[in-house]
Amino acid sequence: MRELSLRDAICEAMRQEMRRDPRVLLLGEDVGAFGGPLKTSRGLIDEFGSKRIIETPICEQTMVGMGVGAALMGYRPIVEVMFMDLMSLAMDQTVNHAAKMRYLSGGDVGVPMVIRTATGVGFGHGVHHSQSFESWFIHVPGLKVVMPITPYDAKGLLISAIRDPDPVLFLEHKRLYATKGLVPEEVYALPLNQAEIKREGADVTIVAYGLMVSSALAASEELAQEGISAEVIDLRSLSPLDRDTILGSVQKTGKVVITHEAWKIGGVGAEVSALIAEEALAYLDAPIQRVAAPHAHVPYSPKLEEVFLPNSVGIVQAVRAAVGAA
Amino acid sequence: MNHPRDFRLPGDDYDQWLRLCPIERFKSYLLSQSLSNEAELSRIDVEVAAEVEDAIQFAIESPYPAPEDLFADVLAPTTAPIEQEVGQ
Repeated sequence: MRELSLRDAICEAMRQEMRRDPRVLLLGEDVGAFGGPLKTSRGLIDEFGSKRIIETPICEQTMVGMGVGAALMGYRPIVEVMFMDLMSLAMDQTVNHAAKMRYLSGGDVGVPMVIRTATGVGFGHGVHHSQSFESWFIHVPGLKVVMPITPYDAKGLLISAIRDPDPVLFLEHKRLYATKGLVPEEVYALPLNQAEIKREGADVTIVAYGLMVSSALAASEELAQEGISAEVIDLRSLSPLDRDTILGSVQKTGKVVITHEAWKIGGVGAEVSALIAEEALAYLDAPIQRVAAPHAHVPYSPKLEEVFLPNSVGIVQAVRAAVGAA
Repeated sequence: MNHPRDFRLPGDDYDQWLRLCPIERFKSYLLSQSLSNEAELSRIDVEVAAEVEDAIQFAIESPYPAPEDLFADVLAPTTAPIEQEVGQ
């Protein structure tokens, strides 16, 4: 098996699905000859031409609307929205149309569309190109939301997202595009609703996704030195949440730290926390801890960006607090 | 492949759109209607360039922001309570 970057794994998933299924299209800004603003569609225009690799104007509402229309007419569009911040411009088509069409048509038609978008704090991109709005979308019925962090997961989850009969929001973290990992050349699909236990542990459960998974794993290494055995869960799917994996781990460890890069208030962690409080309160030996972004805008200054971004130090402190309270 | 000319608007399209530059067209309009003149527009250009240059120097010479600056200007400072409007 060869190594691919997460960026190239995404490209391969699209290429293989476009070869398999002529209904699959890619729409977005500069996705053609430029190879995509984040270089995830290099070479696709040469193989599939401009009728399937469609350059769009800078108008996110129109891009997602084109995707909804194409999906209703039997295509399998992938819409690339350069940064998740710009999903704010496409909310009506995403939330009021893509997510509701199956329901409004009494089940007659669905919107088998993938919206791919880059999230998160990156390289000092500032307030409009660094945000993590995933909690907006887990709030809405009719949408699925996944966020792979390894090239292997990215390929398998994107293939599933393309084949899924409903709209899937596919989140790619800017800092992870260059991450390398083993990826099979053959086509494979991973389930869209399963978390992965990245590290087994007995004393505390750390629930993470996106960039914070690596921070959680780094924290668990440090905690192991102190004799604390941490279990690390990568959610992978934010909607639906993998309740069984989360609750099973909490029942085992009795202590939970939830971490993500998005704001703490109203974030995905709030939903995970509520789920645990509702379903597994009796198993908890200590209050749930959350490690997430402070309620401030993502700063432009690289020094402040690092202050803003949650890290393994904060996770270690939260675990110590949880274990100490037990 | 790094200039938009190479992948967005091949051929003459790019130059055609450049000629439609709204700033250039606005300048032509101002001059044609005698709302301004070349000397005034040049002076504005010089002033703006100086202001940008000053801002860059200010940024370079300033220390990095402190961690507590993260919360500056998110909302207006809440020093005084907002006066209640009394209904009829």
